[in-house]
Amino acid sequence: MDKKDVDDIEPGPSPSRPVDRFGFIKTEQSNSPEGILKSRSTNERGREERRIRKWRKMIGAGGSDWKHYVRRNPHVVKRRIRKGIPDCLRGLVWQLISGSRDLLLMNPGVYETLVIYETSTSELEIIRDISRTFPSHIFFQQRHGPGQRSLYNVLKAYSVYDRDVGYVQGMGFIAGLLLLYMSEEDAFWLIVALLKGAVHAPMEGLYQAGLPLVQQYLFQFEKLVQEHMPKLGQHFIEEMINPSMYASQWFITVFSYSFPFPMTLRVWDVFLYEGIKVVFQVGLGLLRFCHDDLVKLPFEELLHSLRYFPDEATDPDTLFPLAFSFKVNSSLEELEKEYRKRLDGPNASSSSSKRLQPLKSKTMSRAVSQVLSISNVGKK
Amino acid sequence: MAYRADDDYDYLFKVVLIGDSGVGKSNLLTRFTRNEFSLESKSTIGVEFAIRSIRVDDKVVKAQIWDTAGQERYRAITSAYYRGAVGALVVYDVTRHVTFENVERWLKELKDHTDANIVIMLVGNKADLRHLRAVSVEDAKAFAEREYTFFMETSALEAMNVEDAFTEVLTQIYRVVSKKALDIGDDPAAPPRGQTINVGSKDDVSAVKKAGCCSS
Repeated sequence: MDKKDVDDIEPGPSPSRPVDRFGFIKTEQSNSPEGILKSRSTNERGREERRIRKWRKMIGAGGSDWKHYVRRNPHVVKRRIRKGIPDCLRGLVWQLISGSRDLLLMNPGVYETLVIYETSTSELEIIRDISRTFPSHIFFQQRHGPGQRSLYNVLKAYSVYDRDVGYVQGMGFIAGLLLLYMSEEDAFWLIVALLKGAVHAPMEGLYQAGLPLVQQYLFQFEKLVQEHMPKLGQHFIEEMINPSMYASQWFITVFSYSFPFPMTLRVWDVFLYEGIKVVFQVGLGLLRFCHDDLVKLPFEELLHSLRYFPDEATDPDTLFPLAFSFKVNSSLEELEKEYRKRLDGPNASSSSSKRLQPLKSKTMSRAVSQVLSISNVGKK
Repeated sequence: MAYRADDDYDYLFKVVLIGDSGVGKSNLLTRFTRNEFSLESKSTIGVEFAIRSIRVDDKVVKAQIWDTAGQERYRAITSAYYRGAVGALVVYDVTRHVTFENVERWLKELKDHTDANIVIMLVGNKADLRHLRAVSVEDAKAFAEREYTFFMETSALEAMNVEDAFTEVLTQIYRVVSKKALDIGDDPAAPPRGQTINVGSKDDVSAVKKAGCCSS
Protein backbone atom coordinates (compact mmCIF):
# COMPACT_ATOMS: atom_id res chain seq x y z
CA MET A 1 0.00 0.00 0.00
CA ASP A 2 1.11 3.51 -0.81
CA LYS A 3 2.15 5.83 1.99
CA LYS A 4 -0.14 8.32 0.44
CA ASP A 5 -0.19 11.03 3.06
CA VAL A 6 3.50 11.43 3.53
CA ASP A 7 3.81 14.37 1.22
CA ASP A 8 0.77 16.12 2.46
CA ILE A 9 0.86 16.10 6.21
CA GLU A 10 3.91 15.75 8.36
CA PRO A 11 3.01 15.92 12.03
CA GLY A 12 4.89 18.91 13.42
CA PRO A 13 5.51 19.91 17.00
CA SER A 14 2.24 21.82 17.14
CA PRO A 15 -0.39 19.52 15.67
CA SER A 16 -2.91 22.32 15.38
CA ARG A 17 -0.83 23.94 12.65
CA PRO A 18 -0.20 21.53 9.81
CA VAL A 19 2.87 22.06 7.66
CA ASP A 20 3.56 21.36 4.03
CA ARG A 21 6.14 18.85 2.83
CA PHE A 22 8.91 21.43 3.23
CA GLY A 23 8.04 22.36 6.79
CA PHE A 24 6.23 25.63 6.17
CA ILE A 25 3.12 26.16 8.23
CA LYS A 26 0.09 26.06 6.01
CA THR A 27 -2.06 29.12 5.68
CA GLU A 28 -5.35 29.27 3.92
CA GLN A 29 -4.16 31.19 0.92
CA SER A 30 -0.51 30.28 1.14
CA ASN A 31 1.70 29.87 -1.86
CA SER A 32 2.44 26.38 -0.65
CA PRO A 33 3.28 23.75 -3.20
CA GLU A 34 0.30 21.54 -2.49
CA GLY A 35 -1.32 22.50 -5.73
CA ILE A 36 1.65 21.24 -7.67
CA LEU A 37 2.54 18.25 -5.58
CA LYS A 38 -0.84 16.97 -4.53
CA SER A 39 -2.00 13.53 -5.54
CA ARG A 40 1.14 12.07 -6.98
CA SER A 41 0.30 9.01 -8.94
CA THR A 42 2.10 5.71 -8.46
CA ASN A 43 3.51 6.31 -11.89
CA GLU A 44 5.16 9.55 -10.82
CA ARG A 45 6.57 7.92 -7.74
CA GLY A 46 8.15 5.25 -9.86
CA ARG A 47 9.70 7.87 -12.06
CA GLU A 48 10.99 9.76 -9.04
CA GLU A 49 12.61 6.61 -7.67
CA ARG A 50 14.35 5.88 -10.97
CA ARG A 51 15.56 9.45 -11.02
CA ILE A 52 17.04 9.14 -7.55
CA ARG A 53 18.85 5.93 -8.56
CA LYS A 54 20.29 7.70 -11.58
CA TRP A 55 21.49 10.55 -9.40
CA ARG A 56 23.00 8.25 -6.79
CA LYS A 57 24.98 6.54 -9.49
CA MET A 58 26.11 9.87 -10.87
CA ILE A 59 27.48 11.21 -7.58
CA GLY A 60 28.77 7.97 -6.08
CA ALA A 61 29.04 7.24 -2.38
CA GLY A 62 29.33 10.54 -0.49
CA GLY A 63 29.99 12.34 -3.77
CA SER A 64 33.12 10.36 -4.64
CA ASP A 65 32.32 10.02 -8.34
CA TRP A 66 30.93 13.49 -8.83
CA LYS A 67 33.93 15.38 -10.17
CA HIS A 68 34.80 12.60 -12.55
CA TYR A 69 31.24 12.48 -13.87
CA VAL A 70 30.94 16.23 -14.31
CA ARG A 71 34.19 16.38 -16.21
CA ARG A 72 33.07 13.67 -18.62
CA ASN A 73 29.42 14.64 -19.01
CA PRO A 74 28.92 18.30 -18.19
CA HIS A 75 25.90 18.59 -20.44
CA VAL A 76 24.14 15.62 -18.93
CA VAL A 77 24.69 17.13 -15.50
CA LYS A 78 23.40 20.50 -16.62
CA ARG A 79 20.28 18.94 -18.13
CA ARG A 80 19.57 16.84 -15.06
CA ILE A 81 20.07 19.75 -12.70
CA ARG A 82 17.64 21.88 -14.67
CA LYS A 83 15.08 19.13 -14.17
CA GLY A 84 15.62 19.43 -10.43
CA ILE A 85 17.92 17.68 -7.97
CA PRO A 86 16.08 14.98 -5.99
CA ASP A 87 15.17 16.49 -2.64
CA CYS A 88 16.86 13.73 -0.65
CA LEU A 89 20.20 14.42 -2.37
CA ARG A 90 19.91 18.17 -2.61
CA GLY A 91 22.04 19.07 0.39
CA LEU A 92 24.94 16.93 -0.74
CA VAL A 93 24.75 17.96 -4.40
CA TRP A 94 24.56 21.65 -3.54
CA GLN A 95 27.81 21.29 -1.63
CA LEU A 96 29.43 19.46 -4.52
CA ILE A 97 28.44 21.88 -7.25
CA SER A 98 29.18 25.01 -5.25
CA GLY A 99 32.69 23.90 -4.35
CA SER A 100 31.88 24.29 -0.66
CA ARG A 101 32.69 20.67 0.11
CA ASP A 102 36.32 21.29 -0.83
CA LEU A 103 36.51 24.40 1.33
CA LEU A 104 35.12 22.47 4.26
CA LEU A 105 37.62 19.66 3.89
CA MET A 106 40.51 22.07 3.61
CA ASN A 107 39.54 23.96 6.76
CA PRO A 108 38.81 21.56 9.58
CA GLY A 109 37.89 23.22 12.84
CA VAL A 110 37.80 26.72 11.41
CA TYR A 111 34.04 27.11 11.60
CA GLU A 112 34.01 26.08 15.22
CA THR A 113 36.65 28.67 16.00
CA LEU A 114 34.65 31.41 14.34
CA VAL A 115 31.53 30.48 16.25
CA ILE A 116 33.02 29.92 19.66
CA TYR A 117 35.98 32.22 20.06
CA GLU A 118 35.18 35.25 17.95
CA THR A 119 32.84 38.11 18.64
CA SER A 120 31.10 40.11 15.99
CA THR A 121 29.90 43.70 15.98
CA SER A 122 26.85 42.49 14.10
CA GLU A 123 25.57 40.21 16.83
CA LEU A 124 22.67 42.42 17.88
CA GLU A 125 21.61 43.05 14.31
CA ILE A 126 21.66 39.34 13.59
CA ILE A 127 19.62 38.52 16.67
CA ARG A 128 17.01 41.08 15.74
CA ASP A 129 16.47 39.41 12.39
CA ILE A 130 16.58 35.78 13.48
CA SER A 131 12.88 35.55 14.25
CA ARG A 132 12.12 37.47 11.07
CA THR A 133 13.72 34.89 8.81
CA PHE A 134 11.40 32.21 7.45
CA PRO A 135 9.07 32.91 10.39
CA SER A 136 6.53 30.47 8.99
CA HIS A 137 8.87 27.50 8.94
CA ILE A 138 8.70 25.10 11.87
CA PHE A 139 12.48 24.75 12.05
CA PHE A 140 12.94 28.48 12.62
CA GLN A 141 9.79 29.16 14.60
CA GLN A 142 10.75 28.12 18.06
CA ARG A 143 12.36 30.94 19.97
CA HIS A 144 15.97 30.00 20.70
CA GLY A 145 15.24 26.59 19.20
CA PRO A 146 17.81 24.64 17.19
CA GLY A 147 16.85 26.35 13.94
CA GLN A 148 17.26 29.86 15.28
CA ARG A 149 20.50 28.93 17.02
CA SER A 150 21.99 27.47 13.86
CA LEU A 151 20.93 30.48 11.86
CA TYR A 152 22.54 32.78 14.36
CA ASN A 153 25.77 30.79 14.44
CA VAL A 154 26.17 30.71 10.66
CA LEU A 155 25.47 34.41 10.24
CA LYS A 156 27.72 35.36 13.10
CA ALA A 157 30.50 33.15 11.83
CA TYR A 158 30.28 34.77 8.43
CA SER A 159 30.22 38.27 9.86
CA VAL A 160 33.48 37.46 11.65
CA TYR A 161 35.02 35.68 8.70
CA ASP A 162 34.38 38.62 6.38
CA ARG A 163 34.30 41.80 8.41
CA ASP A 164 33.91 43.96 5.32
CA VAL A 165 30.60 42.35 4.64
CA GLY A 166 29.62 41.65 8.22
CA TYR A 167 25.93 40.95 8.37
CA VAL A 168 23.46 42.31 5.86
CA GLN A 169 19.71 41.72 5.90
CA GLY A 170 18.90 39.15 3.28
CA MET A 171 21.83 36.88 4.07
CA GLY A 172 19.62 35.23 6.65
CA PHE A 173 17.29 33.91 4.00
CA ILE A 174 20.17 32.31 2.15
CA ALA A 175 21.59 30.82 5.34
CA GLY A 176 18.12 29.67 6.38
CA LEU A 177 17.49 27.99 3.08
CA LEU A 178 20.81 26.16 3.27
CA LEU A 179 20.22 25.07 6.86
CA LEU A 180 17.14 23.20 5.79
CA TYR A 181 19.41 20.97 3.72
CA MET A 182 22.72 20.78 5.53
CA SER A 183 24.59 21.30 8.79
CA GLU A 184 25.68 24.68 10.11
CA GLU A 185 29.24 24.15 9.08
CA ASP A 186 28.29 23.01 5.58
CA ALA A 187 25.98 25.99 5.20
CA PHE A 188 28.70 28.35 6.31
CA TRP A 189 31.18 27.06 3.74
CA LEU A 190 28.59 27.22 1.02
CA ILE A 191 28.06 30.90 1.76
CA VAL A 192 31.82 31.39 1.68
CA ALA A 193 31.99 29.56 -1.66
CA LEU A 194 29.32 31.83 -3.11
CA LEU A 195 30.51 35.15 -1.77
CA LYS A 196 34.21 34.52 -2.30
CA GLY A 197 33.71 32.85 -5.65
CA ALA A 198 34.83 29.24 -5.37
CA VAL A 199 33.33 28.23 -8.72
CA HIS A 200 31.59 31.29 -10.14
CA ALA A 201 32.23 35.00 -9.90
CA PRO A 202 32.32 36.14 -6.26
CA MET A 203 29.08 37.66 -5.01
CA GLU A 204 30.33 39.50 -1.93
CA GLY A 205 29.56 42.77 -3.73
CA LEU A 206 25.88 42.05 -3.13
CA TYR A 207 26.47 42.86 0.52
CA GLN A 208 29.43 45.18 0.70
CA ALA A 209 29.01 48.85 1.60
CA GLY A 210 27.07 50.59 -1.14
CA LEU A 211 25.73 47.25 -2.35
CA PRO A 212 27.78 47.65 -5.54
CA LEU A 213 26.84 44.35 -7.12
CA VAL A 214 23.14 44.87 -6.47
CA GLN A 215 23.37 48.15 -8.32
CA GLN A 216 25.24 46.54 -11.19
CA TYR A 217 22.83 43.62 -11.47
CA LEU A 218 19.84 45.97 -11.45
CA PHE A 219 21.42 48.02 -14.22
CA GLN A 220 22.07 44.89 -16.26
CA PHE A 221 18.60 43.55 -15.63
CA GLU A 222 16.91 46.73 -16.75
CA LYS A 223 18.89 46.69 -19.98
CA LEU A 224 18.13 43.01 -20.56
CA VAL A 225 14.42 43.69 -20.21
CA GLN A 226 14.71 46.45 -22.78
CA GLU A 227 16.67 44.18 -25.09
CA HIS A 228 14.49 41.09 -24.86
CA MET A 229 11.07 42.67 -24.22
CA PRO A 230 11.28 46.14 -25.75
CA LYS A 231 7.58 46.82 -25.40
CA LEU A 232 7.64 46.06 -21.68
CA GLY A 233 10.93 47.91 -21.27
CA GLN A 234 9.36 50.98 -22.82
CA HIS A 235 6.28 50.59 -20.65
CA PHE A 236 8.48 50.45 -17.55
CA ILE A 237 10.19 53.66 -18.62
CA GLU A 238 6.88 55.42 -19.22
CA GLU A 239 5.48 54.28 -15.90
CA MET A 240 8.76 55.12 -14.16
CA ILE A 241 9.26 51.61 -12.88
CA ASN A 242 12.85 50.68 -12.23
CA PRO A 243 14.07 47.26 -11.21
CA SER A 244 15.15 48.32 -7.72
CA MET A 245 11.43 48.57 -6.96
CA TYR A 246 10.85 44.87 -7.47
CA ALA A 247 14.05 42.97 -8.23
CA SER A 248 16.53 43.93 -5.48
CA GLN A 249 15.39 41.03 -3.35
CA TRP A 250 15.59 38.66 -6.33
CA PHE A 251 19.32 39.23 -6.40
CA ILE A 252 20.04 39.87 -2.72
CA THR A 253 18.39 36.63 -1.63
CA VAL A 254 18.50 34.70 -4.91
CA PHE A 255 14.74 34.26 -4.96
CA SER A 256 14.63 32.87 -1.43
CA TYR A 257 12.75 35.80 0.12
CA SER A 258 9.22 35.74 -1.18
CA PHE A 259 8.72 33.04 -3.77
CA PRO A 260 7.04 29.66 -3.34
CA PHE A 261 9.55 27.30 -1.82
CA PRO A 262 9.51 24.67 -4.59
CA MET A 263 10.49 27.38 -7.04
CA THR A 264 13.23 28.67 -4.75
CA LEU A 265 14.74 25.18 -4.53
CA ARG A 266 14.71 24.60 -8.27
CA VAL A 267 16.25 28.03 -8.86
CA TRP A 268 19.00 27.22 -6.37
CA ASP A 269 19.73 23.89 -8.05
CA VAL A 270 20.47 25.68 -11.28
CA PHE A 271 21.95 28.83 -9.77
CA LEU A 272 24.61 26.91 -7.87
CA TYR A 273 25.66 25.05 -10.99
CA GLU A 274 25.36 27.76 -13.64
CA GLY A 275 25.86 30.95 -11.68
CA ILE A 276 24.15 34.31 -11.26
CA LYS A 277 22.99 34.46 -14.88
CA VAL A 278 20.21 32.12 -13.77
CA VAL A 279 18.74 34.85 -11.59
CA PHE A 280 18.58 37.11 -14.63
CA GLN A 281 17.01 34.37 -16.72
CA VAL A 282 14.40 33.49 -14.13
CA GLY A 283 13.58 37.17 -13.69
CA LEU A 284 13.16 37.58 -17.41
CA GLY A 285 11.08 34.40 -17.50
CA LEU A 286 8.69 35.77 -14.88
CA LEU A 287 8.28 38.99 -16.83
CA ARG A 288 7.80 37.10 -20.09
CA PHE A 289 5.13 34.91 -18.55
CA CYS A 290 3.13 37.94 -17.42
CA HIS A 291 4.22 40.17 -20.29
CA ASP A 292 0.85 40.70 -21.95
CA ASP A 293 -0.76 41.71 -18.67
CA LEU A 294 2.12 43.84 -17.47
CA VAL A 295 2.25 46.04 -20.57
CA LYS A 296 -1.33 47.14 -19.89
CA LEU A 297 -0.95 48.03 -16.24
CA PRO A 298 -0.36 51.47 -14.76
CA PHE A 299 2.29 52.16 -12.12
CA GLU A 300 0.63 50.91 -8.97
CA GLU A 301 -0.95 47.78 -10.36
CA LEU A 302 2.29 47.09 -12.15
CA LEU A 303 4.28 47.19 -8.93
CA HIS A 304 1.75 44.94 -7.28
CA SER A 305 1.93 42.40 -10.10
CA LEU A 306 5.71 42.44 -9.98
CA ARG A 307 5.50 41.50 -6.32
CA TYR A 308 2.80 38.85 -6.44
CA PHE A 309 3.16 36.57 -9.41
CA PRO A 310 0.42 34.07 -10.23
CA ASP A 311 1.02 30.45 -9.19
CA GLU A 312 1.43 29.25 -12.78
CA ALA A 313 4.23 31.74 -13.32
CA THR A 314 6.22 30.39 -10.41
CA ASP A 315 5.80 26.72 -11.31
CA PRO A 316 9.34 25.72 -12.35
CA ASP A 317 8.09 23.40 -15.07
CA THR A 318 6.40 26.34 -16.75
CA LEU A 319 8.89 29.00 -15.80
CA PHE A 320 12.20 27.31 -16.57
CA PRO A 321 11.68 26.63 -20.28
CA LEU A 322 10.80 30.30 -20.63
CA ALA A 323 13.69 31.43 -18.46
CA PHE A 324 16.33 29.38 -20.25
CA SER A 325 15.11 30.49 -23.64
CA PHE A 326 16.84 33.79 -22.86
CA LYS A 327 20.48 33.75 -23.87
CA VAL A 328 22.12 36.30 -21.63
CA ASN A 329 25.81 35.46 -21.32
CA SER A 330 27.28 37.82 -23.88
CA SER A 331 24.84 40.62 -23.07
CA LEU A 332 25.70 40.37 -19.41
CA GLU A 333 29.38 40.75 -20.21
CA GLU A 334 28.78 43.73 -22.45
CA LEU A 335 26.49 45.37 -19.93
CA GLU A 336 28.97 44.88 -17.15
CA LYS A 337 31.57 46.72 -19.18
CA GLU A 338 29.08 49.46 -19.95
CA TYR A 339 28.18 49.76 -16.30
CA ARG A 340 31.79 50.01 -15.21
CA LYS A 341 32.46 52.63 -17.82
CA ARG A 342 29.62 54.74 -16.48
CA LEU A 343 30.71 54.18 -12.94
CA ASP A 344 34.37 54.92 -13.41
CA GLY A 345 33.91 57.72 -15.87
CA PRO A 346 36.59 58.43 -18.47
CA ASN A 347 39.38 57.25 -16.17
CA ALA A 348 38.16 53.70 -16.08
CA SER A 349 41.02 51.32 -15.58
CA SER A 350 41.01 47.81 -16.92
CA SER A 351 41.76 46.39 -13.52
CA SER A 352 38.35 47.28 -12.21
CA SER A 353 36.73 44.44 -14.10
CA LYS A 354 38.77 41.74 -12.51
CA ARG A 355 36.64 41.21 -9.44
CA LEU A 356 33.90 39.56 -11.39
CA GLN A 357 36.04 36.88 -12.96
CA PRO A 358 35.70 33.51 -11.37
CA LEU A 359 38.97 32.89 -9.56
CA LYS A 360 38.86 29.21 -8.95
CA SER A 361 41.83 27.97 -7.03
CA LYS A 362 43.26 31.39 -6.35
CA THR A 363 40.19 32.60 -4.50
CA MET A 364 39.97 29.36 -2.68
CA SER A 365 43.45 29.62 -1.29
CA ARG A 366 42.91 33.26 -0.44
CA ALA A 367 39.76 32.34 1.43
CA VAL A 368 41.61 29.64 3.22
CA SER A 369 44.54 31.74 4.28
CA GLN A 370 42.15 34.38 5.51
CA VAL A 371 40.36 31.82 7.59
CA LEU A 372 43.55 30.36 8.94
CA SER A 373 44.81 33.70 10.09
CA ILE A 374 41.53 34.30 11.81
CA SER A 375 41.60 30.95 13.50
CA ASN A 376 45.11 31.63 14.73
CA VAL A 377 43.97 34.85 16.29
CA GLY A 378 41.19 32.93 17.92
CA LYS A 379 43.56 30.51 19.56
CA LYS A 380 45.69 33.15 21.15
CA MET B 1 -3.97 38.88 -2.59
CA ALA B 2 -6.50 40.92 -4.47
CA TYR B 3 -5.51 44.33 -5.59
CA ARG B 4 -7.91 47.21 -5.37
CA ALA B 5 -7.14 50.10 -7.60
CA ASP B 6 -8.85 53.16 -6.33
CA ASP B 7 -8.54 55.43 -9.25
CA ASP B 8 -10.68 58.23 -7.95
CA TYR B 9 -8.59 60.73 -6.15
CA ASP B 10 -7.94 64.44 -6.07
CA TYR B 11 -4.42 64.41 -4.72
CA LEU B 12 -1.60 61.94 -4.82
CA PHE B 13 1.14 62.26 -2.21
CA LYS B 14 4.31 60.27 -1.94
CA VAL B 15 5.25 59.39 1.62
CA VAL B 16 8.26 57.45 2.91
CA LEU B 17 8.58 55.32 6.03
CA ILE B 18 12.08 55.36 7.43
CA GLY B 19 13.87 54.46 10.63
CA ASP B 20 16.10 51.79 12.10
CA SER B 21 15.68 48.13 11.38
CA GLY B 22 13.03 46.38 13.47
CA VAL B 23 11.14 49.43 14.72
CA GLY B 24 7.95 48.28 13.03
CA LYS B 25 7.77 50.25 9.79
CA SER B 26 6.29 47.41 7.76
CA ASN B 27 3.64 46.65 10.32
CA LEU B 28 2.69 50.33 10.53
CA LEU B 29 2.23 50.24 6.78
CA THR B 30 0.13 47.09 6.70
CA ARG B 31 -1.90 48.34 9.65
CA PHE B 32 -2.66 51.56 7.80
CA THR B 33 -3.24 50.14 4.33
CA ARG B 34 -4.78 46.73 5.07
CA ASN B 35 -5.54 46.86 8.79
CA GLU B 36 -3.28 43.88 9.30
CA PHE B 37 -0.52 43.15 11.76
CA SER B 38 1.79 40.17 11.75
CA LEU B 39 3.96 38.92 14.58
CA GLU B 40 5.67 36.72 12.02
CA SER B 41 6.73 39.34 9.54
CA LYS B 42 9.99 39.11 7.63
CA SER B 43 12.60 41.81 7.59
CA THR B 44 12.15 44.08 4.61
CA ILE B 45 14.66 43.60 1.82
CA GLY B 46 14.94 46.68 -0.39
CA VAL B 47 11.67 48.57 -0.63
CA GLU B 48 7.99 47.76 -0.34
CA PHE B 49 5.10 49.80 -1.53
CA ALA B 50 1.44 50.26 -0.67
CA ILE B 51 -1.30 52.79 -1.20
CA ARG B 52 -4.36 54.02 0.58
CA SER B 53 -6.79 56.82 0.02
CA ILE B 54 -8.35 58.89 2.73
CA ARG B 55 -10.83 61.71 2.73
CA VAL B 56 -9.76 65.19 3.78
CA ASP B 57 -12.51 67.79 3.72
CA ASP B 58 -14.38 66.82 0.60
CA LYS B 59 -11.31 65.65 -1.25
CA VAL B 60 -9.83 62.22 -1.78
CA VAL B 61 -6.17 62.14 -0.90
CA LYS B 62 -4.26 59.13 -2.06
CA ALA B 63 -1.05 58.18 -0.32
CA GLN B 64 1.62 56.27 -2.09
CA ILE B 65 3.76 54.93 0.72
CA TRP B 66 7.26 53.51 0.37
CA ASP B 67 8.48 51.27 3.14
CA THR B 68 12.24 50.93 3.19
CA ALA B 69 14.72 48.46 4.64
CA GLY B 70 16.11 49.94 7.84
CA GLN B 71 19.62 48.56 7.85
CA GLU B 72 22.30 51.14 7.26
CA ARG B 73 23.79 49.22 4.34
CA TYR B 74 20.53 49.48 2.44
CA ARG B 75 20.59 53.24 2.23
CA ALA B 76 22.55 52.80 -0.98
CA ILE B 77 19.30 51.64 -2.53
CA THR B 78 16.61 53.21 -0.40
CA SER B 79 17.73 56.81 -0.45
CA ALA B 80 16.68 57.01 -4.09
CA TYR B 81 13.13 56.64 -2.85
CA TYR B 82 13.22 59.83 -0.84
CA ARG B 83 13.19 61.90 -3.98
CA GLY B 84 9.84 63.50 -4.62
CA ALA B 85 8.48 62.54 -1.21
CA VAL B 86 6.28 65.21 0.34
CA GLY B 87 5.80 63.40 3.61
CA ALA B 88 7.85 61.16 5.86
CA LEU B 89 7.24 59.10 8.95
CA VAL B 90 10.48 58.72 10.84
CA VAL B 91 9.92 55.76 13.11
CA TYR B 92 11.72 54.68 16.26
CA ASP B 93 10.98 51.97 18.78
CA VAL B 94 10.00 53.36 22.21
CA THR B 95 11.62 50.31 23.84
CA ARG B 96 15.02 50.77 22.18
CA HIS B 97 16.63 54.09 22.95
CA VAL B 98 19.28 53.73 20.28
CA THR B 99 16.60 53.81 17.57
CA PHE B 100 15.52 57.19 18.97
CA GLU B 101 19.10 58.44 19.01
CA ASN B 102 19.40 57.50 15.36
CA VAL B 103 16.42 59.63 14.38
CA GLU B 104 18.77 62.53 13.97
CA ARG B 105 20.65 60.66 11.26
CA TRP B 106 17.42 59.77 9.53
CA LEU B 107 16.40 63.41 9.53
CA LYS B 108 19.71 64.27 7.99
CA GLU B 109 19.11 61.66 5.29
CA LEU B 110 15.82 63.35 4.53
CA LYS B 111 17.47 66.75 4.42
CA ASP B 112 20.05 65.48 1.99
CA HIS B 113 17.58 63.87 -0.36
CA THR B 114 14.28 65.71 -0.17
CA ASP B 115 12.81 69.15 -0.33
CA ALA B 116 13.53 71.01 2.87
CA ASN B 117 9.85 71.56 3.47
CA ILE B 118 8.71 67.97 3.48
CA VAL B 119 6.13 67.19 6.19
CA ILE B 120 7.77 65.00 8.80
CA MET B 121 6.16 63.05 11.60
CA LEU B 122 8.30 61.52 14.31
CA VAL B 123 6.68 58.25 15.28
CA GLY B 124 7.43 56.32 18.48
CA ASN B 125 6.13 52.85 17.74
CA LYS B 126 5.49 49.83 20.01
CA ALA B 127 3.88 52.07 22.61
CA ASP B 128 1.90 49.04 23.77
CA LEU B 129 5.06 47.70 25.43
CA ARG B 130 4.61 50.00 28.40
CA HIS B 131 6.78 48.04 30.81
CA LEU B 132 9.72 48.15 28.39
CA ARG B 133 9.60 51.81 27.55
CA ALA B 134 13.03 53.40 27.14
CA VAL B 135 12.13 56.71 25.53
CA SER B 136 9.84 59.10 27.37
CA VAL B 137 7.09 60.98 25.66
CA GLU B 138 8.54 64.24 26.98
CA ASP B 139 11.95 63.63 25.46
CA ALA B 140 10.48 62.73 22.11
CA LYS B 141 8.16 65.73 22.17
CA ALA B 142 10.97 68.09 23.02
CA PHE B 143 13.07 66.64 20.26
CA ALA B 144 10.24 66.96 17.76
CA GLU B 145 9.77 70.60 18.74
CA ARG B 146 13.43 71.34 18.24
CA GLU B 147 13.43 69.66 14.87
CA TYR B 148 10.12 71.16 13.74
CA THR B 149 8.50 67.81 13.15
CA PHE B 150 5.16 66.45 14.21
CA PHE B 151 5.14 63.74 16.82
CA MET B 152 2.97 60.82 17.80
CA GLU B 153 3.33 57.54 19.61
CA THR B 154 1.76 54.55 17.95
CA SER B 155 1.20 50.86 18.34
CA ALA B 156 0.84 48.94 15.11
CA LEU B 157 -0.05 45.91 17.22
CA GLU B 158 -2.96 47.59 18.99
CA ALA B 159 -3.82 49.81 16.04
CA MET B 160 -3.27 52.80 18.28
CA ASN B 161 -2.74 56.16 16.58
CA VAL B 162 -1.62 54.54 13.35
CA GLU B 163 -4.53 55.93 11.43
CA ASP B 164 -4.00 59.30 13.07
CA ALA B 165 -0.31 59.47 12.34
CA PHE B 166 -0.70 58.88 8.63
CA THR B 167 -3.81 60.99 8.39
CA GLU B 168 -2.13 63.88 10.11
CA VAL B 169 0.79 63.80 7.70
CA LEU B 170 -1.49 63.59 4.68
CA THR B 171 -3.77 66.31 5.98
CA GLN B 172 -0.87 68.65 6.59
CA ILE B 173 0.42 68.10 3.09
CA TYR B 174 -3.07 68.62 1.76
CA ARG B 175 -3.48 71.90 3.65
CA VAL B 176 -0.32 73.26 2.14
CA VAL B 177 -1.04 72.14 -1.37
CA SER B 178 -4.68 73.22 -1.45
CA LYS B 179 -3.89 76.55 0.14
CA LYS B 180 -1.21 77.11 -2.42
CA ALA B 181 -3.62 76.16 -5.19
CA LEU B 182 -6.21 78.61 -3.88
CA ASP B 183 -3.64 81.35 -3.67
CA ILE B 184 -2.76 81.04 -7.29
CA GLY B 185 -6.35 80.39 -8.36
CA ASP B 186 -5.75 76.90 -9.63
CA ASP B 187 -8.39 74.25 -9.62
CA PRO B 188 -7.23 71.83 -6.95
CA ALA B 189 -9.50 69.13 -8.33
CA ALA B 190 -7.35 68.75 -11.41
CA PRO B 191 -3.99 67.60 -10.16
CA PRO B 192 -1.59 65.51 -12.15
CA ARG B 193 -2.50 61.85 -12.04
CA GLY B 194 -0.64 58.63 -12.33
CA GLN B 195 2.87 58.07 -11.25
CA THR B 196 3.92 61.68 -11.01
CA ILE B 197 4.31 62.07 -7.35
CA ASN B 198 6.14 65.29 -7.11
CA VAL B 199 3.38 67.31 -5.64
CA GLY B 200 4.91 70.55 -4.81
CA SER B 201 7.68 72.89 -5.58
CA LYS B 202 9.58 74.31 -2.66
CA ASP B 203 6.95 76.94 -2.10
CA ASP B 204 4.12 74.48 -1.87
CA VAL B 205 5.23 72.91 1.32
CA SER B 206 6.84 75.89 2.92
CA ALA B 207 3.58 76.87 4.52
CA VAL B 208 3.75 73.79 6.67
CA LYS B 209 6.13 75.25 9.13
CA LYS B 210 3.80 78.12 9.74
CA ALA B 211 0.85 75.78 9.90
CA GLY B 212 2.26 74.42 13.08
CA CYS B 213 4.40 71.76 14.52
CA CYS B 214 4.34 69.13 17.16
CA SER B 215 0.63 68.58 17.30
CA SER B 216 0.12 65.23 18.87
